[in-house]
Amino acid sequence: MLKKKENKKKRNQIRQTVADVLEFPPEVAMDLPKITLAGQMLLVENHKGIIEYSNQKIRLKVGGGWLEINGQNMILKAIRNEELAISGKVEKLILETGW
Amino acid sequence: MLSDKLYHWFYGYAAIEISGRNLERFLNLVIQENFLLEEIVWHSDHLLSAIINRRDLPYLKEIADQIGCKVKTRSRIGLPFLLSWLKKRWSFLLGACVFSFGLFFMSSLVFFVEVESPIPLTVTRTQAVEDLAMQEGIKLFHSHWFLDFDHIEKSILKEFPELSWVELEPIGNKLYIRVVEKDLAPQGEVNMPVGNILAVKDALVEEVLVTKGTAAVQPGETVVAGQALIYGNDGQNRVTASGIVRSRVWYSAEGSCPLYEEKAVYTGVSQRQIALQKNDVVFILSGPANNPYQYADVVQKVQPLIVWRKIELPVELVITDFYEQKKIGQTFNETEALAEAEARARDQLQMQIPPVCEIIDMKAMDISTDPQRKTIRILLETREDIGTFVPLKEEELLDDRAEVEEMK
Repeated sequence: MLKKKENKKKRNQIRQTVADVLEFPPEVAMDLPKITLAGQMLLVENHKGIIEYSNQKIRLKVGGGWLEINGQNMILKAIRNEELAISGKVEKLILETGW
Repeated sequence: MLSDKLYHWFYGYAAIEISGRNLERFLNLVIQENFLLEEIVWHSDHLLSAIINRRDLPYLKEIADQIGCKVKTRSRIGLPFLLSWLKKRWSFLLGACVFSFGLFFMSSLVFFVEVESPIPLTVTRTQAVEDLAMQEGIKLFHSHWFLDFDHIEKSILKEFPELSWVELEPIGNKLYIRVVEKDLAPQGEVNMPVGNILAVKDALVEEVLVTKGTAAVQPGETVVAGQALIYGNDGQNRVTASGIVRSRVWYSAEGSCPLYEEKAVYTGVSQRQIALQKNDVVFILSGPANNPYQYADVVQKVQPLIVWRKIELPVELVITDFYEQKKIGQTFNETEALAEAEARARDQLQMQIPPVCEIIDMKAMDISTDPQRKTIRILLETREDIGTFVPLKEEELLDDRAEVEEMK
């Protein structure tokens, strides 16, 4: 189990080095989420699924961890395979990744 | 966005309610299956509402069944649903069409006819125009769709030669006949005063064109101001003299500019004095008692005090504005002083010459005698009509009549 984690860590380090050398966008090279906030509209790209959903808290699975969005009257405007749009009053974003 | 809403409406969508325990799982499955779920609103831990394309709805129900959720359709909105609804109720559609057409037809019926003109009519009677329009085809409570507007307009113009323009325009149930009368010139010269054309300035006559009356001068003659140019007499009767007498006229103007000149310019500072005046007694209400500045432009306005409507008080309100000025010295070299003097002379000339004239020649001469001041004289030669019509006085007319009677 420990060995598996170490291997993953190594793999990620190689990915990061390659991305830095080739100047790839991190969301492409390392499978990271891309979060765009425009006014009361939050767009999350590269998500892996919904863990929890209510009008005050939305928790999403992202590459290597999870993203928590806290706010008021939040609704999911649209959900697609890799994109998700949230509208409402966004108060806090918590990004927890294992990198 | 409007385009999204239009897209949804065009293809049809369903507003659904999803209830159950594993709502997040349901959403993830929907994402996996690549269905587009929008406007997902959380109501409680076990209830969501959303909208979905009408074609995806059956598949969504399948997914919900797999994980023990329930999908309930609240409403179906959009063009496909509307069309299928109308297909079932074709008589309703027919009724709506008949009603719309009926309303459209009713709005074309002429209930009222009105003749109007932007300028009040003086010769034409509006009733006569309306009667003629009725004769030419306009009928009350009939549709205007079948009227030949061009024909009616032409008939009205033919029947009423004093009209210059006719237009028929239906607005609602009212048919407007808009007409404009010709602006006719006054008939004859019955009321025109008799008189002569006199010279307004000294000049050398170059051309005489007489349209009425008798020429009093010939080309090449010099005339002085007040001299008759065209007599208002055609040999038998007194007439209104008219014609053009083109002549050469000379103008002269001088302008001077010192090499050093002081000019007064406004400083932007001002004070206002408000006072009441009764004959020579002045009572100052506010502001300075006297002119507070060494150099100032003083502007005074006197106005009566009106208490109510036309009732005036026997005192006047005097408002005096003192605009402070300061003197600024300006030095010119000789060339600048000459240019400034010429500009001032031109300004003087501008005030003398009429707005319509032909400039033949212009000469500027330096006539300076003082070494500290430059003076320019401009001589201008123009060609212009110098005649002006002057009606005969009452006494002259009486003398004229007495002379005729004596001859008889």
